[in-house]
Amino acid sequence: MRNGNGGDRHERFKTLYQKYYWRVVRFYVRAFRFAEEDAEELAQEAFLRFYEAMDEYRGDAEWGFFESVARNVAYNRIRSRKTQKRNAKTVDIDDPELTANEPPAPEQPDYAERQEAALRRKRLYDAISSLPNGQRECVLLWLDDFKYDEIARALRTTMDAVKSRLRDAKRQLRAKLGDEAALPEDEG
Amino acid sequence: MNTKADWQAVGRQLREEDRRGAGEPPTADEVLAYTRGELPPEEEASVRERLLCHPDLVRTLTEPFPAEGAKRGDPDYLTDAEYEFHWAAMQKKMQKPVQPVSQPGRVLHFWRFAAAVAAAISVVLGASLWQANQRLAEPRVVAEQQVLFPDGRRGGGLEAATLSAHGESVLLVVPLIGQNEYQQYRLELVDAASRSTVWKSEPLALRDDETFTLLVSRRFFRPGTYEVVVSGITGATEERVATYSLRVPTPHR
Repeated sequence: MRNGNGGDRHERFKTLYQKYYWRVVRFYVRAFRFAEEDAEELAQEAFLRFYEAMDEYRGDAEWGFFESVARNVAYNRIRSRKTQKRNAKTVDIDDPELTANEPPAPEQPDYAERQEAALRRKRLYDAISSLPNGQRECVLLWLDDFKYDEIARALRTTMDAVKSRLRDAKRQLRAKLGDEAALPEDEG
Repeated sequence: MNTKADWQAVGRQLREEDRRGAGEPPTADEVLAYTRGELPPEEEASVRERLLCHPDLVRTLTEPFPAEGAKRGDPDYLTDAEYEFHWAAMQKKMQKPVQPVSQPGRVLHFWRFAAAVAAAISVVLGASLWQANQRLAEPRVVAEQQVLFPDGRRGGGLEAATLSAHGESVLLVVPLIGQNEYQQYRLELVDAASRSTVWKSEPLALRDDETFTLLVSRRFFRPGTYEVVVSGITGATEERVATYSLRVPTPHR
């Protein structure tokens, strides 16, 4: 494997691995909150898959190619967790075995406060639901703390389009909600 | 007054409802095609809808990826010894089958597909060639033998030799009459109407009987008049020695 072209391939791989291994592990930890042990395993998997396909890519494209492999590995891991959850066995929330040793519920705000909060959220719910789909998509991602450029990437559009949709959405929300529409970035 | 927590709680609720309606999250292959803009509009909208229900999956596409690697001596840089340790672990994993990933998979699938098509074509062509070779190796009966005479030496007659329409091929016998002083000879078939060469031989040695014999498939000839031109070669000099006219009639239907 280390002779001839195989040797060259291995040297290229080794160079990338030595330079990027820990940065890729940290990428997984920071971006997806994987435990470090899991992140190391994922990083190795990504590098391994890259090694097996790297002859298809050479030169400048190599790191870009690795990036797509690494993202793909993370995507598959997160997606498989979701599908496992969907297919997981469910238990009844009122199962006495589960509730017997449950700690007491924390103190709740009084009924009037809860009613008021529920009404406020209902108005927000209706206001966001009434937005055109493109604006609604942007607002939901924005509420999840995605930056403009990230929203643009996710929606496959331009950053200007994202800014424009968010501006229009905020205008509509303010018109519907009046003073209540203190949007997160307006909190001060 | 609404707080950020209120907005976010409503956002989560809307997403949860979207998730229930959207079904399974898109596969990695679908997402890759989506990010590359390879999907038709309807499918693109479907993938986007299913993807946006899962912000954690969206993050796999949007989180900034490390652009620069560590340099030798940085704490992040793996030493040779550490690398060898990792490499040994990876070699163990390599013993196990690895599932293909989307991007290389697509490229590999394409090349594998192309290689498979090329292999199939090679097999077909190889078989055809083998069959043709086999046929060439089999004895064949030549239905017609045409002895040609040099133009101007056909016993005073001006008529070109005329081929019949029988058989798959014809044997043309080209006798050289009193022109045996050249080191080598070359034969050409020239379309008399267009004056274009339709076939040319390599330099040939003259046989003892001072005759060249050409086996030509009848399909090679279109109706018309041809000339068999014999040239003599001495060193770098090549000169025309004799011309033999030949007429190929239009076949009767």
